[in-house]
Amino acid sequence: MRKIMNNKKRFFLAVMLGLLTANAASQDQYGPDYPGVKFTQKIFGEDRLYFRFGAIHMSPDIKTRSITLSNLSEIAEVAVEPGEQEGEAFSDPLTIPAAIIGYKLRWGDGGWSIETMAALPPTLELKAKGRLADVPLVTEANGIPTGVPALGEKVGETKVAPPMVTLVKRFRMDHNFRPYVGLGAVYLFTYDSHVTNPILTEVGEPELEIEDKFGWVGQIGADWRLSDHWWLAADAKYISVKEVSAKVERTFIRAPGLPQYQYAEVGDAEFVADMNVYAFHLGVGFTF
Amino acid sequence: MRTTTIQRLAVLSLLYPLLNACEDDPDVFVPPEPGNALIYAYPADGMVDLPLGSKLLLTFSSDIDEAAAKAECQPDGDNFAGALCLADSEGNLVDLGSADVSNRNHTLTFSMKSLRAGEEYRLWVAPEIASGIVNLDGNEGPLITFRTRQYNPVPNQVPAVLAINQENPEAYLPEPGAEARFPFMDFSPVRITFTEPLVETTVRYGDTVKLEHQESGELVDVRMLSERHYITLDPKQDLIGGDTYTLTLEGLEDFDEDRLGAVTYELTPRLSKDDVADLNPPIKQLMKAQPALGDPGYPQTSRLHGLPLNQFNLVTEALGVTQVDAMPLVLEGWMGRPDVHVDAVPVVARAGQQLRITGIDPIKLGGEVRTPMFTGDIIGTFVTDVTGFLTTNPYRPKGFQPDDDHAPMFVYMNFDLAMHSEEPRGNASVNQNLMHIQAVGVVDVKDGALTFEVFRTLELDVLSGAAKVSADFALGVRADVDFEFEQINRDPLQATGSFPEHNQTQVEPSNNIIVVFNEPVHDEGMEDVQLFRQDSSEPVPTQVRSSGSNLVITPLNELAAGQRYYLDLGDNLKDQDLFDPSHLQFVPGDATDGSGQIVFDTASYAANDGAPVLPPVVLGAYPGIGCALEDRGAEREDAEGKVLKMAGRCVGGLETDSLFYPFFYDVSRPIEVSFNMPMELASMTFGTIAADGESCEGGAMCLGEEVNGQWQNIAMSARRNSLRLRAVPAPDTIAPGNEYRLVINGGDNGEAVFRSHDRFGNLDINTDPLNGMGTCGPLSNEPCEGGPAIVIDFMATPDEGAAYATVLTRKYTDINGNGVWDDDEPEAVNNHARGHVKSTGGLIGGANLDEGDQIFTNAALPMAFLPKQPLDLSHIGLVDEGNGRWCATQEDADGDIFCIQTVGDTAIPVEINAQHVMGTSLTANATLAIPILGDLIPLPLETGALVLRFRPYDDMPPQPLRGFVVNQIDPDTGEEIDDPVFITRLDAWLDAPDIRLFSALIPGGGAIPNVADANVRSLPVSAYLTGPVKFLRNGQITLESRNASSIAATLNLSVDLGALIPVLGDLLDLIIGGILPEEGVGSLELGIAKDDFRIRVVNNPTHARLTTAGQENAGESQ
Repeated sequence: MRKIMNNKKRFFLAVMLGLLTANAASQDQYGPDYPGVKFTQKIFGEDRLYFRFGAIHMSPDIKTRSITLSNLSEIAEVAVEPGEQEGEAFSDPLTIPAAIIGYKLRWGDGGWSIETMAALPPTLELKAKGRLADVPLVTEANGIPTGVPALGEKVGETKVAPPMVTLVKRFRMDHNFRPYVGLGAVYLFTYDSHVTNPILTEVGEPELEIEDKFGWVGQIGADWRLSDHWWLAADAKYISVKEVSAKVERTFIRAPGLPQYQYAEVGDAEFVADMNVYAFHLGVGFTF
Repeated sequence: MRTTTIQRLAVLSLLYPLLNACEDDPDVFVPPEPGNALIYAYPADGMVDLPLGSKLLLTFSSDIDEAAAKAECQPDGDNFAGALCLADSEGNLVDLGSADVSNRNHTLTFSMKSLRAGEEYRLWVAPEIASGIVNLDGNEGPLITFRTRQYNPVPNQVPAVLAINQENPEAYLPEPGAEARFPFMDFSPVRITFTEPLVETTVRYGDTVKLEHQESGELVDVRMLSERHYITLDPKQDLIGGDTYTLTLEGLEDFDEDRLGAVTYELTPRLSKDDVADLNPPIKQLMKAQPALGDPGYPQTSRLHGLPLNQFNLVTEALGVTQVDAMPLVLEGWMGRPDVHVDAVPVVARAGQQLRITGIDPIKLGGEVRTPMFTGDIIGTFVTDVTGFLTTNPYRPKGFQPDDDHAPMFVYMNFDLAMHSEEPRGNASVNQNLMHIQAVGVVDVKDGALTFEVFRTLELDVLSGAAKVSADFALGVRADVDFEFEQINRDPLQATGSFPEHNQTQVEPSNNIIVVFNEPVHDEGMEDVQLFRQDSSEPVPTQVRSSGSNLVITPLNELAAGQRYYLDLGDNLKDQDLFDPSHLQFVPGDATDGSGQIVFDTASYAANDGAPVLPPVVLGAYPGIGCALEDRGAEREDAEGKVLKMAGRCVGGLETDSLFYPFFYDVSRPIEVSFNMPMELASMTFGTIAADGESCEGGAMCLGEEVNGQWQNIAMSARRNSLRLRAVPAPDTIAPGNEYRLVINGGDNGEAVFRSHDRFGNLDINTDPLNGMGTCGPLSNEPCEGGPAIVIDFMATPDEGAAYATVLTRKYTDINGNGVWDDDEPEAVNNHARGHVKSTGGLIGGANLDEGDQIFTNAALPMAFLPKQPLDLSHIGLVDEGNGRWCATQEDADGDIFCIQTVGDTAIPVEINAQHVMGTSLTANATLAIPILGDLIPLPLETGALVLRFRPYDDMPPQPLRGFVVNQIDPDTGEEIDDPVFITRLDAWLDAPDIRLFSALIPGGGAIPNVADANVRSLPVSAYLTGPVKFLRNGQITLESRNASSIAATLNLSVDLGALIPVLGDLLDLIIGGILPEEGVGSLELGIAKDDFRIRVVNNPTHARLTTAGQENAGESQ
């Protein structure tokens, strides 16, 4: 099952990248005279496709809804009750190169466009805080100290490729400073998710499965013309994917307090959180 | 267009490796498959002292191949090849054909009943025994070695330490010769198991047994429990982890007075706690039998053997099968840190806590014949700290990951358990210590808790040791720190019974004193239990020890005869409750009648002036009878036409006496010889059977077997008290179906013989009492010592589970055995026959019995409650008239027909071995009737000591003597009698070997030698005896029987009138000339009315003293 999921993801990513790189072979007369411009115009038309290449700073705001232990092994049940646990997950902000790619629609004054964000998939570090991080989850098993330490902050990591599409309306199209707003959808797509916690990975690496899920994106920004073709763009997005589920399975830990057990199977842990991201992008680009 | 497509593909092909590089599969841990395996075995390797009622269990995770398991084994060097092979220490294979496969084909069970006691066995198990077994490859030797329990003393063998805490004792020698499986922990009691039982008085802490701190030399303050072949030293404070202690054993003796060589062991306990000063190991555990009675889902099935968990069957022939259920009591335990004690995690539960199971309510003999005895809940109190270890599965390599299904963790628990019960009479009957128990089980994790399933076959004595009960305890325990732990002491301590009883008289001075409590007694306060002679303020030196809920007080020297003693229980006795011990309460009706003291008088043995001094006789023998026999081996046919070699008849009887039925010997029973008076223990010696098999050389008694025409001696080991010798043949020397010979020297040829105690003249035994006991020698009043050897030929029979005991007439009158009711002897109205003269005839014109018209009896009857059978009283001559009514076919002496109305369709047959019963002398005041002159001459007749021999039923073909225990309807009330009723037909011969006539005409009324002869030889009497079987609060069982049919017997007298009246006779002859014959004949018909012949027999208490000659007065050597 897991193998199938991974292949699907690979396929999806390949298609996206393929689309982004399609028709890289021809060029037209409109726009700056850079290699590939004409080619792009040939595909998308003149004054249609634009990009703003720069950096994006993403600040995740993860609101943990629940951390639930389920399918506990018999031995795990000795130490911990199944059901909801206390704790929170979070992820650090990160800044990566990214480009906004937009396509102007032939509506009205030309202020409508659809945009997406292109970037190398970031690696999102999943972290824990609060009780989940600081207090050992299984201090005792039937009164016997397990010796299992607190998990600590580091839980796992995952690569995120959240394709998003927003419908953007630019204003003051006849001015060099063009504010805009947008609204769209995002699809939280993760892959290569790994548990990286040293306690959880001492015996072997558990499976980490993060649910792929649609969310919404709100966007506000402004373009400022720098030259005939070049624009400086500042963009802020609020990305929200509700009730994202991340499940850790096949976890085996070592309990130093119970060395008679070489390892102890734990069971499943499911994190459900609202994944909200504040993304700030600053970039330059031109319209093909 | 084509170019574009190619370009797209080219770009994609470049991206694809990048995508793959991004998605790493996690390195998920896949646990190794444990594979199918032997997951549990009982016994565990190295276990010792396994009762023969034990089960051998092998539990696999896959199906057993039963055919392979039972296939023949082949020798392979020192080993055996085969799926399952069990061999003794000499390499003899055990037939495992009776093994059962159960528990969904996962468990193989084999009863150890056929194994030999005290033998080491080895078990080989190969992978072929079950499908896909992966953990039995590569065993070079046996998988498991275990040793069965040695129940009895072993002759010609010095006792040795068999195990210390179930470990090879060599592991604790200063230069270890073995390695212990488990560490010795700071909280551990020291449980020393010996190869055979020890004499209690040789076990003295601080003297023959010492546990000392090596560095300081200080004796460790311990609670010592010692009995049979067990000693447990439970330090009152935990030992200091890391320090070394020395255990010294020196001077311990077995019952053959073989002495254990001095030996010192070194014990260095491991610290179980975080700090030496801590009271307990750090991890608290609360454990409860679960699911138990009343819990949902109860009973669960044991995964070890497939039978119910926490529900056991108590199985014995004596009581049938009784199902009992564990009750959900919570125990508190403490565990050492598993991360410190990696190989074996130590566990302790402190002494004083209890297990509780439902009881046997009511006790039914054979499971059918109801008694009014109830046990209430049966309680097991841990009398020493329970110690144990948790380990990984021992049948997997070290460090193997535990797996509930394929490699469960193991638990080993060691404990000493005092069994007792709620109800006083039940308690007296079942209370005992189960010592040095090791239970082995598995631990798994279920429903969020550790669950323990522990198995152990326990063997309990019931009916005061008359029978053994085997119980396969599969105890399921759940550990949960949230259990509610009650610290309530439910019952105050009370003394419920004693032996001797309060205010009892004529107590045997060499006996011990047993006080029965309702629960086990704490050792603190036992030092205040003191025995005093009434005329002294100095306490008598005693040894006080506890067993079950008994206190056993053994005087170190024989008590003085004819003195009053009182046992003061002190003010400090308390029970063993761990948290809230309750002190002993004295209440009216308890063993002290509320006084706190048990007062008793020892027998004085004083005889009347002029009373004869008789030699001792063997009162009861098992197998056999206590008289020399003749006509041994004469053949008779039984009812089925089978030719029997009869046992013979007593020497001195009549030639016409019927021959005794052949003697049989149940191999599970000891050989027992009982005496009619206290004996000199030093004379109770064993010799070697002579070449002709007719006597013993070098000892008073011997046992032999004829092999190829040669008599071969069989060694025996003995336990003695002044009235009884209990002998046990050497292990494996008696085989069912074979014939053996027991010889008791008579002394006619100067051999060693049993002799009476010094206070009775140290006389040699009389083996032919029918030839006279006190009328031998020229003066006619010399004791008749000696006689031919008592030669008992018998056949051994297998153990059929009978409950056996030699029962004694108690209370009884003739304490000193002189055949006379002496002034100082009590009138034991429950063991007497009250006679009357029914008629006279011939020269006896009239007669009446003296005021003391009672014959007091003294008997020792080896009896056995046999397995139940359908009710059929035809064996004792009763005819079934339907509806449970059985009647005799012949009228009794009063012309009545005896009948009994029974209830139910089951009876417990009781084996009655032919014995002779001694009776006190009876005096009849007869008058010699002279023709014409009438009753002229007083002719007092004194019977002298009487002998009543059990007689085969002459109206039936040869058959063993039997009684029956049944439930009966009271003929007066029509209600069922509460107590079960014993019934038998007693046919007997009455003999008066020393009968004497006195002449009133001779000055002083002295006896007239050689003037009269009475035919009180083999005088047949017959009666039905019936009465209740009762269970006493001190644990004894009584049969109280009376004759339900009247008895009559005619004494014929012949008198040499000339000698009787030398002068008057001539004169009379002259006067009446020829009318009076020289020799006169007369008769006197004696009768015993219904209920006037009473016999009350009682078994010895379980803890009655048995010792050695050397230890009879052990206090003198201290």
